Amino acid sequence: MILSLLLGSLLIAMLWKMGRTAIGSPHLRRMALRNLVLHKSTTLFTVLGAMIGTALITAALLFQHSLVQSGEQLLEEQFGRIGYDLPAGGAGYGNAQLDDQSVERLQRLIAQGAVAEVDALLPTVSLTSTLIKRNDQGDPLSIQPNVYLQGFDRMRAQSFDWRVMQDIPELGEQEILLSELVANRLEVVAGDQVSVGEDSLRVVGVVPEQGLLGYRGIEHASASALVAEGTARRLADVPDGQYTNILLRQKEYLFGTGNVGTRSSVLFGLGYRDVAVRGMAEDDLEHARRIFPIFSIASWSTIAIGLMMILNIFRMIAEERRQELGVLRAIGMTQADLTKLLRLEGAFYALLSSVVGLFAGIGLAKLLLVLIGDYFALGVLQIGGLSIQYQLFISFEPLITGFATGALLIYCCSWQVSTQAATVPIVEALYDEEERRGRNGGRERLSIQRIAVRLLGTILTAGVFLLSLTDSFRDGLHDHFSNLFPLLLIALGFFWTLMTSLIVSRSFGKLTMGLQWVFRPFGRIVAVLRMALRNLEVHSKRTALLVLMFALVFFLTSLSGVFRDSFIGHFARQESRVLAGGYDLYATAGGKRLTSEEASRMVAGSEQVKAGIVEQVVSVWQVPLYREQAYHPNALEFGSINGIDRAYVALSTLKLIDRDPAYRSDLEAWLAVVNDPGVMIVSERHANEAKIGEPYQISLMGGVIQKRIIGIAAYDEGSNDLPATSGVFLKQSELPNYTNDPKTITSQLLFRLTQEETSAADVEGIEKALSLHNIYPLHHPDADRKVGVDHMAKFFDTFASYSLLSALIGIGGLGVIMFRMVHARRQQIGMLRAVGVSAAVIYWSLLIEGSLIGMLGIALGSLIGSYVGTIMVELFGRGGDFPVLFPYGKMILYMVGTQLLTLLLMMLPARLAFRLSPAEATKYVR
Amino acid sequence: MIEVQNLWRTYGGGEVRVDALRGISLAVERGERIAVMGPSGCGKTTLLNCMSGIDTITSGHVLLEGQDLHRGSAAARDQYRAKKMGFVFQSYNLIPVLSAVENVELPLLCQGVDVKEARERAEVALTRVGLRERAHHRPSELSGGQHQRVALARAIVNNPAVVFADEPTGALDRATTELVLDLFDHLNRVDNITFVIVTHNPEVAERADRVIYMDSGEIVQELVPKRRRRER
Repeated sequence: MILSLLLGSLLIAMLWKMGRTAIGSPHLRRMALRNLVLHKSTTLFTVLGAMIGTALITAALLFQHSLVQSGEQLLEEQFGRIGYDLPAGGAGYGNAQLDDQSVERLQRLIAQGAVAEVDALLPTVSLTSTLIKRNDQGDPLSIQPNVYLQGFDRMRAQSFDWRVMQDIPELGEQEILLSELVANRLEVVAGDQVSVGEDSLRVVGVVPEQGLLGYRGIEHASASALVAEGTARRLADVPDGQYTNILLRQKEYLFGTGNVGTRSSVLFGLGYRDVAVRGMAEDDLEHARRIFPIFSIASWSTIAIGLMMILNIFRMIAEERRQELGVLRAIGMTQADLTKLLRLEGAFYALLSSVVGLFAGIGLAKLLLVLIGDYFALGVLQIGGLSIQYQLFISFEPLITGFATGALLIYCCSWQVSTQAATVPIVEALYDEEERRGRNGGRERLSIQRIAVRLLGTILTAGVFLLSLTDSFRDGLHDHFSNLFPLLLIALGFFWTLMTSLIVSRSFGKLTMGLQWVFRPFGRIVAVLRMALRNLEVHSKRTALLVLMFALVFFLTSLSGVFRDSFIGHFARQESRVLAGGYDLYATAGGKRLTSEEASRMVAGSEQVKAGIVEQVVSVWQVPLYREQAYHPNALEFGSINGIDRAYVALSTLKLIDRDPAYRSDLEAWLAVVNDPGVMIVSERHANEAKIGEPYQISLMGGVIQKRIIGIAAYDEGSNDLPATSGVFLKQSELPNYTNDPKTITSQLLFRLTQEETSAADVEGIEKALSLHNIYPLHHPDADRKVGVDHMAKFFDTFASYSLLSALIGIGGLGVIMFRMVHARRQQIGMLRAVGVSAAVIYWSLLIEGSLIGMLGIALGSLIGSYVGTIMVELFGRGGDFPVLFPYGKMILYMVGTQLLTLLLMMLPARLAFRLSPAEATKYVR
Repeated sequence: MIEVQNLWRTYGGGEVRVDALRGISLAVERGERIAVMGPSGCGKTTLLNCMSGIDTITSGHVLLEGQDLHRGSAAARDQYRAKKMGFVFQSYNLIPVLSAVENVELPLLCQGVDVKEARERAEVALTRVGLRERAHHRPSELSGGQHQRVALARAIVNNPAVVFADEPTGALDRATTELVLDLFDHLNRVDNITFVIVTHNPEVAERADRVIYMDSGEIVQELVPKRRRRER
């Protein structure tokens, strides 16, 4: 906000200054406007080029703002004033049972101010269940699994959140209030009946999700609904005077004002173990947004490219008009007036381009949201289980920041150039540029300092490159800058791009000589090359800036291309069944202890499951390995103690990387675990320092599993969130010994399908069957992986396209410069034509001059981007199998496409030169 | 050598029609030096442009060694100019990014002459104008007179039959003008090059074999300068 205000103030200052000049000096205003109209093509290209920078930065800011606002909306809908949730259970942590006494105690503590950040509580009775709409015959018409049903005392709820409760009607015993989401999915309206287990409840109303009504519990259910407290007790089997949860209210009302900013429990010191539900959600939302700054990097690089273009063009304009400005000064215009005139022109450019850029930016932000919004939503879902839909939020702050950034940067460029141009002494200004160069000695004189700087720059560039080839450099980056290395590498890439562009631009002399030598038998080619390349050599600053413009674009494009192809290649090659330990689907039955036989019967007896598609169903009992994570929504992903049976072993593909020699095969070792309560297998992921024959030390909480380790199971990083692929494996019946509350045991149902590639409809059938038993959601790792890969591909493709937009600035800028160059060289071209040089030779020399800049920039940027991308993939992929893949096809397409566009645009000024008559040589008016 | 017959050059049409040349007829012998004089806007430069084929004509004929210059294609005229003509302009029109020798050899390279041969011929041309030692200097490092001598070297590097010069001394001081005119004389004498020179400078005209005075697109008078009359 401070930045927006600052930029807004500067913008107002600029506008005020511009307005004052325009009104106070109408002659300057007329001259400025006429110059813009006179050089129509320059004005058009400059405005278009400059507006792309504004459009990209506005789009990036607007998109980021939309991500944040959508997140805030979700927090408001699903949490409202709920900051923390204290669940019953988790014996050993102080809140084994939540009863009226606990509530009273906590209330007292809160009243005494002993609980930071909390000012009220609400005891609730909740359960997660499946809601079913049935027809008259009792058959299910629609099913909504995973609905968080809550019941609470109405009076208490009103004091907890009166704003939400004022819209909620009193609920009777057989009544339910649905959120819009559930009602829409079930296609029910007020007055309809829905089933929850054996109960049939009448829908008394449908309300939007907000706060208490939108809360979906610690484990982020799919939707929410309210019932009377008594109904909830009956459904959840909770006696009077006891509760399943106590919700704690955040002192500050947070919507739009900030974050809880902590994932920590507030009751820990008081003997309870609550979950910072809102803080964790905020964290998950922010985590998913972390990758977005690469779009900001691309935007800023675009701004930099835009700046180079603007500087180049303004410099050219100032050079071209040097004599005109000299004459103006000679006839009495003051330096201040001249500066005002040039700045006024700059301000017009700034305003025009920023207005166009602003609208283009809004459109681009919307497009980004359509293209990659789902990628971020998937990220949030995968990280914390929150379901979010991102939408575009247009607000003043990002708009003014984008607009002002674009306008002010352009204005600053014109400011700098106009100051330089206006302060040139009159006598100097009246010489034309070539005469001035002549008086300065013609060729650039190299001082010792300049040579030293160039030498140092070259050595530094080459040195850092050579260093980057060493293992110690890469290890150092990975080990000491584990979070920062992507940014450091991008910064290094920018450095190389800048330096090589400068070095290459300074080496045009050598390049020209080399090419002349190669083509020496072909006089015409030498003539064309000489005319084309010598200009690039002489105007080395301009050449360097133009080469850099293209190089920056292709650096980012190729970097993201290598990254995209390597990662997608890696994920696309993964075999989901192998990663999942030999299974294709899984679902979690929380709080239930199902045996593999029971699970198989449940599926086999279901009408929804097509016969023959499921080969085997296995149930693995699990409790979290690290008990301090017990109430984390994804506690089991941190590691689990797996109670396995013979059915699991029969199909498991988990290999042992180390095994007690007493067992002749992996299978024998696995079977020993199933039969012998005294032994276990530990996953490589959680092995720590564990050795065969020793008990297992649980590192974080210091617990010990007193069984003998007989094998270490291999672990693939790709199995990260897949159940029963890591942790500790022991006999199923042993598991209750590792929890004080049997309710915390989860049955992980693993499905092996007859055909790995089963249709979505068949999987949906299994999902329905499980939902009817209150088991959800059903995960399909292979489908999830494909969706993930698709989203990732789309994300990087969008980023590449986003970066490529900057190429348009480069091409536009080059076009302006070439047009102006042809205009300035009319007489020379006329002379060449007069002495018999054919129009084709002139045409080709100009075409080569323009397109060579593009070609060099593209080549440099692509090489550096690919190299940096390779290092990045290597560092990101350490510990996994990440082969570096180059997107040859795509890169060639981008390069050829950009080059073709450049060529096409270069044809316009070249054609202009082509049409110039030799008689131009005898026109002496310059 | 050059025969101009009833040459008309008209620009624009209707009310803005301008007859820059009105039925000019003129003959120039090989090795002759012609100076064209007249007030500004009388059509001197237009006549030079039409005679050399760098501008198109409205009607009439320009015969060069018996061939009608404007009957062929533009490409053919380009070829003819490249091989048979040389040009010198008031503002030199050297390519600023090329050195003197590179400027001189450029027309040869564009004709497809071998790089080595082009360089040798360019160095010879520069030697003839007395700038051999400045061959590798860029235009910005040369004086006005040196510019014009490089332009002259460029004009003669292809051994032209005729050199067209438009105000060749317009931007030069008196001493440099003398130097350039001496060079013209020398080339005319030694290589028998024909010179058609548009000028305002009576000194230049004085050195010509014939002076043609123009006004309003017509030749109004032809004179042989006193000096030339004395020589005869």
